[in-house]
Amino acid sequence: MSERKKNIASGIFFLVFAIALYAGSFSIVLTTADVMGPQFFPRTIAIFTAILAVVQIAMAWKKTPDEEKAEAEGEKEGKTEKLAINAVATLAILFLYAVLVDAIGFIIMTALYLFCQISLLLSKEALKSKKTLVVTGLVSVLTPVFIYYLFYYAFSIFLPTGILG
Amino acid sequence: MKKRTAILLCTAAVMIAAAGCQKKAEPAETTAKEAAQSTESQGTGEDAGETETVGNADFPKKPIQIICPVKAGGDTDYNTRVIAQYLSKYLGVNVIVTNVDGGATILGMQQVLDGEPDGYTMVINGLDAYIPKMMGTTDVCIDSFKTVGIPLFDNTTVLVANSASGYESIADVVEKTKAAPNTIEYAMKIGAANQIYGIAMNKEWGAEFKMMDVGNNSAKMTALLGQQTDTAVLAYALAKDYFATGEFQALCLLGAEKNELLPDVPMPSEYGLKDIDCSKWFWLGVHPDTPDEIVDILSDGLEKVTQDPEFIATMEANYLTVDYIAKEEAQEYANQFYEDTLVPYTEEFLASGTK
Amino acid sequence: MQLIQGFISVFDPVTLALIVGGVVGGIVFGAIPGLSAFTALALFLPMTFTMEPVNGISFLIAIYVGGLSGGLISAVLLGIPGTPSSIATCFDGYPMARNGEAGKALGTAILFSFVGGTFGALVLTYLGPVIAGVALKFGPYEYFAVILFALTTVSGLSAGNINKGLLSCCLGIALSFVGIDRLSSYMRYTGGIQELSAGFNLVPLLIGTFAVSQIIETAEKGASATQKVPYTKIKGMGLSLKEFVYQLRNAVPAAVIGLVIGILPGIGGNVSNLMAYAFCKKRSKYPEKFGTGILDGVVASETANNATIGGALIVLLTLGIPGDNATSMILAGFQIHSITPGPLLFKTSADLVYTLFAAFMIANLVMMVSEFMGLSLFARVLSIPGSYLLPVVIACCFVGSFSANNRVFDILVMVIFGLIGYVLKKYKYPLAPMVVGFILAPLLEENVRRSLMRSEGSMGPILASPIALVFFILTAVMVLLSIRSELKESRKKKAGQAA
Repeated sequence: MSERKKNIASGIFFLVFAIALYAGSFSIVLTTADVMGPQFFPRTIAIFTAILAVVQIAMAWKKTPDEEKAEAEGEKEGKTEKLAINAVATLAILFLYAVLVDAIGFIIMTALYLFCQISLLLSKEALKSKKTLVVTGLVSVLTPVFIYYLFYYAFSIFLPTGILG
Repeated sequence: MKKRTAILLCTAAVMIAAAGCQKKAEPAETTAKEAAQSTESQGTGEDAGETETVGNADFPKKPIQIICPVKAGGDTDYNTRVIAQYLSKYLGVNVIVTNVDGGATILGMQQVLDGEPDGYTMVINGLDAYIPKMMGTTDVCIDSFKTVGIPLFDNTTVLVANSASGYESIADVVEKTKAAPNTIEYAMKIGAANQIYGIAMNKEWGAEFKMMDVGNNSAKMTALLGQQTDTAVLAYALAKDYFATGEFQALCLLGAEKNELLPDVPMPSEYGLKDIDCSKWFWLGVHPDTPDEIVDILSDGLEKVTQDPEFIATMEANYLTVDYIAKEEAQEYANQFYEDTLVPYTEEFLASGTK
Repeated sequence: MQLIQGFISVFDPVTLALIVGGVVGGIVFGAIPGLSAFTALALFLPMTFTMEPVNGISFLIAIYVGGLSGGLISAVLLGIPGTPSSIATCFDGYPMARNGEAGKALGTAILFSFVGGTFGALVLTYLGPVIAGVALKFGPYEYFAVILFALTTVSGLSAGNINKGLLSCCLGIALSFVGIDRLSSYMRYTGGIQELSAGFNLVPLLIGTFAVSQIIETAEKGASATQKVPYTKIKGMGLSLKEFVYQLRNAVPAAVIGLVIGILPGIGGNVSNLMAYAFCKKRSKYPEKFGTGILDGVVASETANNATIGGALIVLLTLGIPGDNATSMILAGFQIHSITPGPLLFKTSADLVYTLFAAFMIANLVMMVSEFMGLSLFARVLSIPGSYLLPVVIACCFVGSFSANNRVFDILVMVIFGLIGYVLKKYKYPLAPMVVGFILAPLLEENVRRSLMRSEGSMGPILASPIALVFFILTAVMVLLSIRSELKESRKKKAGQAA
């Protein structure tokens, strides 16, 4: 997406967000304890955000001569789509981690996460080497084990044990 | 080449970290060793006090957690840590305090309910446990747990004023509030027990305090010191220096009976006003499905803590009272206390909130 | 003099060893994103049970100093703030590292941390009680005005597009509404999710927004982004005497700002580095260079956050009031030994107080020395390939998020904010205003409502307070100046395009 389109899109998002903020304020329990009440601030911010969002959209709407040129040329977006898969994969393993770590346990989940994440970041050539895989494996397993026992014995912070406990 | 550097770096990192860990672990180990040694020396019968640990071969086998449902650094947190320290002596395992703060103690309480009913996680709370239920935010309260016991009582809630205000006594203040209604401030925190105390004072004494939210204890002290507000309730120990210098005035003790450790603080009844019980107690509970034998062990451990002379001395230095009520009795005590001191003011307390 | 006596008492081998250990331990905690001085204090507090009062409290102060300072290491090397007090250090410290100037950035940050800390220590020792008296004059009216003023400094962090900066700030403010409303004790915007009843915790929000978003970006950019960055060894402390003297023009106002924020209980030291940065940027001759990797940004941020420690200790020791979480732990450390800080402490245990002052100053020195000694070690971090380093850092962030409130839920919060931070970056929204809005909005709302409660709805009494009035005027001035500079910018742009 071009810069201009992105600005318009984000402006629209914030406008919707502001409306949601305002709408959500109706379910707040009103109290008479103080004059302003718990609804006033959220509503004020919602209105302020909406105004800013509209300004944002308006400013981005008019195309300047430079931007017209850039838009005509900048349709080669294919390359960026490919690399975005790694970003999506990273997000996916992060979410999986957050959701599963309690059930499966810190050591196992962190080891799995580290292995996947490091592999995602390494270049394709590096991944082909067996040595790299071994190092990755070592780091993936040693790091969480070390952290877990450090926190258990030295700090008395109990990380989730999951299926190992 | 890359692989070798990577391995070297990893090993170096692990070694350095281990060295750093060693330094931190050492103080922990030495303290544990010291504690163990002191327990042993007491056990070899230097004097009549032996440290027999309660429990059997099955429980406890690993460290126990006490969840403190408020932020670290306050008086609940401090008392929890002291209790934990002495409890580990009598249970024979490490007892650590984990703070899970939020939702007016709900988050911490809920965490125990979501955990295993194996007795390795306890929760500490007080009268504040009832307030979210009063407000209808949750159903969780003391009855949702199995009670282990109540080892500690805090009868040090005093109504404080800055001496510069020139009040002669609590009776004087009450008269002044009646003469000029809604001008003399009572600083409190909305949604906390001390809001209810203010409602109680107005209702029972016919006083006309103006209720002002200032926030937590630090904020109350700042407000009193800076003369931005007129009165507030505080635990005596929090401001004991200011009482000693005379900058603060303890108008009266808000408790069911006089505190022997605070002989100079008068009771409202000495001025013909009704005594209002704003004292506190510290309750420990576990998951409701925890087996009774385990609860018994925990309760016995707590009871031993309350008989430990060092523990008693530490607590009394802050004017607290050490006594033990066990299990179901403690649960009844807590519920009765709630009925007597908070329930009568429910209407006014909730009146400020309308849907 | 009493201070000299204090220094003599501190030179006890056990005390010194504890100070060194405390500072180093604190630095480690501060450097790891997600762990902070507060975490370290909570963990090491039980150890002080068995120590002598002087040793125990000096130990805690040392941890506080180390913990607050350690954040600069990850801020410079990784672009991730190790603690909330080093957010602004990332803005210029990280670009400097990317430019191969990591050593200079680190050296400068360490040196000015020491400057700020010593400034705070000196004020504490000689002016403590006087300053404390000023702190007592601040009530809801004054806090309302001060925090409003602090929020307007957000405009200094918008890096050009003020509209986007404000939107980002509003997002942060809106996020702060989730949870219990402090003034009514009822829930807002929790959608029935019980875990949200406490709202979002700053730590997972912060490291999610900065660290997790970074790894998503790195994954997107591919292996080229994980390549090593050149590191040039530095001479001495990394900057010349001339540069040092020049930077004093930033360090002095930053130190004052840091101290003032530290003195006001309840605001917390997290914003002092951001405010100092924004302030120095505003009055600089070359504001556009801020954020590209110049010394000024690093100096402003690090001087301020260490000066805050002095301010916070002033209020703690002279009044017995803890201004933030970390000082609450130090207060607990006092209570464990049955000592209450406050006015009586100066009368009954003056020697203890002066020993603590000395311990504080020595902790500052130890911090500087140990961080300089560790410089080459820190720089080694840069030579670890990013594909290994970043995931391990994220693993530490998982632990940091968990430790914030001992809940797994906060790890999920961290990941969600990683996504939010990533998206914001993609759409060119600045991240700092969101964090500032999130931190300051609850304080602002609380104090506005309390002010109105006390004044029963009218603005009159609020404006009648001289301190509040001053800050309101300052706020208005800031807003007008910002509007003016924005108009100038856009006129320049239009003129440039027309040409």
